Amino acid sequence: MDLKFLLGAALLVAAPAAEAHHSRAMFNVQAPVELTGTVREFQFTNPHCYIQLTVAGRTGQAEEWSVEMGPPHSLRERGWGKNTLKPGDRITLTIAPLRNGNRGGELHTLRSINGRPVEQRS
Amino acid sequence: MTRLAGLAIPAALLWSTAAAGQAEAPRCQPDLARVAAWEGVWMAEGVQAGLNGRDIPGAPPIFLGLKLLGIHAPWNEAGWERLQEGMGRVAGNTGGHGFSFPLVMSAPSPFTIVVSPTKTVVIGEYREVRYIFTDGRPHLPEDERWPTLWGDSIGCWEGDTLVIDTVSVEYSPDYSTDGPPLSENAHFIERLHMTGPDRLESDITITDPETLERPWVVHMVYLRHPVIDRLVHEGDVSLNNRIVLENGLPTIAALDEVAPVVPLPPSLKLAAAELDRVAGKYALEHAPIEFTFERRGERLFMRVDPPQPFFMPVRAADPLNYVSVTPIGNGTFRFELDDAGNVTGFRGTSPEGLPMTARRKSEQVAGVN
Repeated sequence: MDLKFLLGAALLVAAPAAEAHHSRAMFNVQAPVELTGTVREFQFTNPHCYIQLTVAGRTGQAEEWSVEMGPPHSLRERGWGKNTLKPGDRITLTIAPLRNGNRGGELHTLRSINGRPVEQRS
Repeated sequence: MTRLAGLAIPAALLWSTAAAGQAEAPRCQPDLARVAAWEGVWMAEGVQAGLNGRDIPGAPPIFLGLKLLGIHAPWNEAGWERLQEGMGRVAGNTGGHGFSFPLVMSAPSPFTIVVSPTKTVVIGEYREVRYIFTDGRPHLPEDERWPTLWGDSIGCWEGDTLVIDTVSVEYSPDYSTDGPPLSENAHFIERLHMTGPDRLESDITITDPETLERPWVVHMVYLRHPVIDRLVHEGDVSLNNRIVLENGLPTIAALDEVAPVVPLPPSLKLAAAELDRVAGKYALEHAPIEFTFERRGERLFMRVDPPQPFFMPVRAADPLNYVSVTPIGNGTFRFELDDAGNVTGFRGTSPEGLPMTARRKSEQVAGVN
């Protein structure tokens, strides 16, 4: 984590009230998006873990999404390890998507792994 | 070496112990059996994150736990200027190399403590290292040391309390998670002791007349990490730190993207009467957010509630136009007048580029001289 990350909301001078409490200006937490796809890579790394997810686009073409998570020590506190997700796993999750339209976001809720319900919220 | 005269660990005591031929037990060394529980993995209270690495719903925001970041420090004029200037550097830095001292002692990442008779070592998750020598040696002579991100530390065990004296700390805002913007002549005293099996507490006093109006005192609580029993270090810890600015907005990006440094806008010195004219409380339209502008001396300060429940200075472009500096870009404020010349509100833009319109409230805000 770096300072921008932590201060993104702390030092905002103004924002719509709904997002005023969140340090995630780049993510639209008000409009979560559900994704179902295949894990290409689960990066269990500092300072952030990432899920690189392959998702079928509107016309069927493969699109890669980057889903940001916290550092490994935060994930460990919540029962996650580096093998919680493995390449090839089929997962469904919701994310707070990037506002700029790029294929990325912040993990909101992991809903299922290979058809097994999980429902683990951030 | 004049600063040594005021140290909590009298240099003369350390020196006399060494000079006495070690006939008596060194006074600053620990009783290892009594402090064995210090070893382990610790983390500052109030900076724990959720699965997504951000605030846990219902818990206080992480940034309030970053007590050594400097938001609440008693800065003088030079200190405020350095704090704002540093924010622009932070905004343009994509790295994530770790935390310098003293911020590492309130960072949202764990650290471990290793106690030996001659030194105690604090190691951060991002490979930050603090050597605290407890064998009686003084600081390096001034002509043999230079400012570094973690400074030069010596310590003394007073019973079960480790008193740490640190000097020569470098402030380098290009080091992405550096701070606070103290001078290289700042002097730090930490009194660290265990108050429970899984709890350390520390009283930190920072003196730095170059940037602070008075000594800055911070009380820290550290909790033993509930799960991990060791740190796992990596080579380049900045590799997966992907946050950059794009058109003034932070975003996650490809690894090789670099955002530009946001330059600090110029600021005019204005008369107290000009600042008092705009000082007051303002209600944002369309959102329950209150802005408070308050004059302190020759500077205008602002707080936003929510989400910024503390005052930060704003910069004057002219008597009616001001700029706030944040790590994600600048906010602007253009105050508006009625026919009688009274300020009625402001229009502006937030750091994210969102338009703002606010009306002045009737409540007065007195200036501070």
